[in-house]
Amino acid sequence: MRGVLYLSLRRLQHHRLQSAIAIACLALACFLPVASERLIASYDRDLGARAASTPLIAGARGSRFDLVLASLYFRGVELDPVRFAEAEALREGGEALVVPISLRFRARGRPLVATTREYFERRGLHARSGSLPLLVGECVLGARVAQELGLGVGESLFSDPREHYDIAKAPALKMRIVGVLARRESPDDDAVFVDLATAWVLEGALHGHGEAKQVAQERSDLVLGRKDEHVVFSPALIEWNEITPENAVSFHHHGDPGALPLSAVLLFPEDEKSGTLLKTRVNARSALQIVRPSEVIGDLMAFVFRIKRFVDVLWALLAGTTALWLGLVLLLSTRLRAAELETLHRLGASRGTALRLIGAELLLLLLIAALLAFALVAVALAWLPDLVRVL
Amino acid sequence: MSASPRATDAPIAAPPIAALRGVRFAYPGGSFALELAALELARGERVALIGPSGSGKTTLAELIAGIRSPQAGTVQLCGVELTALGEAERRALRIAKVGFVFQRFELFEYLSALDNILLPYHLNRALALDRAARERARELAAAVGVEQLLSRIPSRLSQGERQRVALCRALIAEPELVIADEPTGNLDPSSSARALDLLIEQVERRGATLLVITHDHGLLGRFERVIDLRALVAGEGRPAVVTPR
Repeated sequence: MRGVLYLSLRRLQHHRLQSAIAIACLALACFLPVASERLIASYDRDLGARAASTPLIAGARGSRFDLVLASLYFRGVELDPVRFAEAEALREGGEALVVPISLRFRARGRPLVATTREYFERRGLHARSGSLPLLVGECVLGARVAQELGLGVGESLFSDPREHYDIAKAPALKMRIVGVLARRESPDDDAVFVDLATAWVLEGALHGHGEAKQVAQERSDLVLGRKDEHVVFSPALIEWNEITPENAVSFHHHGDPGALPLSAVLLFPEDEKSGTLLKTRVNARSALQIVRPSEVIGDLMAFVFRIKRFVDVLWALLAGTTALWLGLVLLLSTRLRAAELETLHRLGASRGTALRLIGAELLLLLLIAALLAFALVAVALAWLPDLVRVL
Repeated sequence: MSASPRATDAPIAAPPIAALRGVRFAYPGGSFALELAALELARGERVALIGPSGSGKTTLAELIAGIRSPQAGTVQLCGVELTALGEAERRALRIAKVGFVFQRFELFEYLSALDNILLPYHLNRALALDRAARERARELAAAVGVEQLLSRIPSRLSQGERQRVALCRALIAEPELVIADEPTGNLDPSSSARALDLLIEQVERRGATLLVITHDHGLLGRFERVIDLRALVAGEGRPAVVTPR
């Protein structure tokens, strides 16, 4: 058998291109169904775990899939805003811990998640270096963000401006990096976290500038008018684009704090009953909706699995077609090699040896293709982006 | 060469390497039948087998080598009755006793010249592919002048070089009988003569019997005996044996 394997290997080596094509076809036919199976199972597990760790999510009425995917995985969809007052109202019954989040901004392309300290406690996040964000203008980086951007504690990061050509909008904000989170292999690794007030600065709801009387004296060209106690400045008045310990005190808000915008509210009820009561109360009477992420992700994955069943049929057809193609190639190859096989017989090989020679070639092709497919699956599992990113 | 045929009843002193008696072989469908009353090949003899296309030269060689079995009669190879053996035993005997040189050499393009020479060892567990076998292959290659070409594949060899590699393959297992099926069929006359000289020289050096199937009557003078199968075609039942001058 060793001699037959040797001859088979030499023949495959000699016909490199044909062998490579056959191996590629076989590997692909093996890789696609196995990879899709493993990837979907992996995504199901990962998505399910994160959804299960967040009992309820409240948000503006609309797509429950968008609400869950954005709130849990920071998918880049713009959610209708929730008023801060509405989030505060959720605390009234005392049924659940309320964790507001704002997801409307990005920094260097990464999601900027504005939230409270309870978020870190509930997600089990802790700083690998530095500390968690305590003050407006501070940020903490997810482990992968820090690695990919090469940033660390003490450095700074600019937010991405939402409107490049509208000077009335808040400019990009320079944020101080005060911490880097330990890696959790979750969407938190890919996010930048800030305090809620920082998000409102980016909204333009909070802003800071020099003391009005001093500015009016130093830059009278920016004063459009004076009325009793008020001074009206030109929009050309440059607001601070960095929050420092020196200017932090100058940041303020004009208007109703209850109107400050949020994206969603994560809810961690005391128990199942409290959660059900809260969900029922809010869904019946409020402008908000409360959803159970595990149910939403379950529905989403059920849909994915329905599609997968259809795709499985396609994979089966592909496998069948590949097998038929392989059979045809072998048949034609055997005919083309009739003289070679006859020579082998004359030289003392049995008819079975000729068959073993062809079988060994097939076996080697299948073996190499299987190894290649296995390697590709491993690479796919290691390197393919998170499902939410490609959705 | 004498044109007058005569019966093959000349006395043979040593036990023959091959002996056929009352052999009848027909292919399925009955398009061709070979009937042979008696034929013997002496040890160390150089024999040419001639005859028109379709007269059964290759079939006769295959019967002698045990590749095919006759429907009637007996075939002995090295004193062993082939018709009494099974396929596997016949094959084992063929591997041990018979070497082949084919008209188109039938070298395998995906193997180096060295691997082509060692092919019988790759195919048969009975032959041990050890250092001695590889050394013997190199010695054979050196003897026919292709020792520098052993790493090349056949398409990178000239016609004559391929012929030499094929000869080495036929001799590697040290056979007692070498059957060459039109080994010079693809060569020009001068190359044919040189190739046949080389074949005869190497076979004689090893004391083996040589049976050459050929259409080239110009080469018959190099053989001790010529067997003409035209008489079989004519239905005389015995091949004409011609002793070249």
